[in-house]
Amino acid sequence: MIHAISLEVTAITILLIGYVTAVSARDLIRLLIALELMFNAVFLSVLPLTLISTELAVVGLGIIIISIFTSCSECLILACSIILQDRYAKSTSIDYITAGGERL
Amino acid sequence: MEFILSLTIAIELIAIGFALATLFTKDNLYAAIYLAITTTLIASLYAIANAHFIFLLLMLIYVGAVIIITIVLAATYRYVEPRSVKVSYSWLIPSIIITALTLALFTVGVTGNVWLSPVKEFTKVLTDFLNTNIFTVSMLVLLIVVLGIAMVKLYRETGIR
Repeated sequence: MIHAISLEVTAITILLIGYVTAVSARDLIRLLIALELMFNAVFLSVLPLTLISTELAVVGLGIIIISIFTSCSECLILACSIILQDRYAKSTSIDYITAGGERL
Repeated sequence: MEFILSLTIAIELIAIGFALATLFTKDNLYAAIYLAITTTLIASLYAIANAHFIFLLLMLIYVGAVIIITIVLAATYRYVEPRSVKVSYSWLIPSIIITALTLALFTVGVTGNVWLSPVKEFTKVLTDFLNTNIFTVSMLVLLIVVLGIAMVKLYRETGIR
C-alpha cells in the first residue's frame, strides 16, 4: 500500500525546489536543470493515477508520454538557446541578457 | 505491504534530498548528475507501483536521452557558480505560504486519507514487453556494453580523465 498524500507532498516539494532553483539561476544551464526538476514533479504527481485503476493507468501513460514530448522539445529549444547565447556572448550567464524579445 | 510503504517513503525522502543538492551545489555538472539521480528515483517509484512500462519509458527516453543531453551540456559549458545560492526572502515567504495552502488543500479536500495499492493488471506489462521485445532489449544491452567498451578504450588511448 502506498499513501497518496505522501506522493503529492513529495511532488509539490520537488516543484517548490524547482521554482527556487529557477529563480536563483545565474546561467541558462541551471535554468534547464530547474525546468527538468519541475517535470520530475509532474511525473510524480501522475503516479497516483496508475494506482487507482487500469483505465486511469492508461490515462496516466498518455499524460507521461505527452510530458516527455514536451520536455524533449523544451530541452531542444534551451540547448539551441544555450549554444546561440555562448556564440553571441561567449558565456551562458544570464547577466549578458539585457532585454527579451526580438530586436526590430 | 509495510515494506513497500517504508521503501516508498525512503525513496521519496532521498529524492527530495538529491533535489535539494541540485539547488545548493555550485557546479552545474554535479547539479545535472543529482538531477539524473532524482529522476531515476522517481522512475523507480513507478516500478514499485507495478507500472513497469512507464518506468521503462522514463528510464530509456527521459533519463537516457533528455537528462544525458543536459549532463553533456553542463559538462561542455562548464560553469561554476562564483558564490553560493542566495534566495531573496521576498520570494521564499510567498512560496512557502502557497505550498502550505496547496498541501492543506490536498490533505483535506482532494486526496484525504487515501491508500492506494498497485493495480494487478499492470504487472503483466513488463513480462509481455520482455516476451515480445526480447530482441530489442538484447540489442539495447549490447549497445550499452559496446559504448562502454569504446569509452574505456578511448580513455586508455588518449589519457582523458
